[in-house]
Amino acid sequence: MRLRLRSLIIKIKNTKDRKIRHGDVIRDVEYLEHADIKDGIIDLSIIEFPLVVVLTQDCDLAQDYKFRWSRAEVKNEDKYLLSVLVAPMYNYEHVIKGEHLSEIEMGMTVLSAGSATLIQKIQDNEIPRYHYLEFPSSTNIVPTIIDFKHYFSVPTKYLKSHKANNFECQIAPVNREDLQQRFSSFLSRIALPD
Amino acid sequence: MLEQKGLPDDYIKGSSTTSISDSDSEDEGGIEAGPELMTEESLSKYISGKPRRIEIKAKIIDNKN
Repeated sequence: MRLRLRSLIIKIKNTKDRKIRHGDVIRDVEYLEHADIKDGIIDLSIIEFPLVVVLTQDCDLAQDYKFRWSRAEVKNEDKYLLSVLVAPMYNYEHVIKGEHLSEIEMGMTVLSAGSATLIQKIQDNEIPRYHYLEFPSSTNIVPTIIDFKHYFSVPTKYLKSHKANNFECQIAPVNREDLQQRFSSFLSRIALPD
Repeated sequence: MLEQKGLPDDYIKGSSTTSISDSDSEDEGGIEAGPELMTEESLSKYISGKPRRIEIKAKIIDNKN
């Protein structure tokens, strides 16, 4: 019998403060895909992600908040962050069917076509690329997958303002540390092109 | 507060955005948010849950002249 190392349901906090925090789950975050200006016409393409999780380190976020928004006099803007790193959270059922990016015309691998072992490994977070999260029933969030190949940055001021009305929850320390370790491990891997 | 549009009780949200704490404490700070109701629009987004593309084209008006 296989021993399950992780609890399936993660812990969360429904409380929030004005600061952006590591592990914050925020709704409806926009990513500017491109902006062109030609012949007096501005052409914008934006992708709106229903849920993202904040991946920037909490200490950097805390310093940015303290130096940018506190009324204390500061010598310079050395601690300001230009942007905050976030990763989209996808509906698990859509991901295993390869359908999660269908509305932005991206076909993805159908994971459910693989073995049952593969699906189990994804749920156990044993596939380095994916991070599976199951939220408590007190939230509106269905089981989700973070794909570590997908991340983007969001201007700090925009995200702080946006969080005020779009905060969903914050992932608890033990679970967000696990997420961060796996994400940094994935980014720092040494891989061959093929 | 969003307006409820005839949705069953199961869709009433528990985590909301009506108040924000000024607390600087690490993990214990903050005020638990009050309830918020889901609209049909936000509910459908949760069911869909897929990223979507928004394309905008707009004419730039030069006010200098």
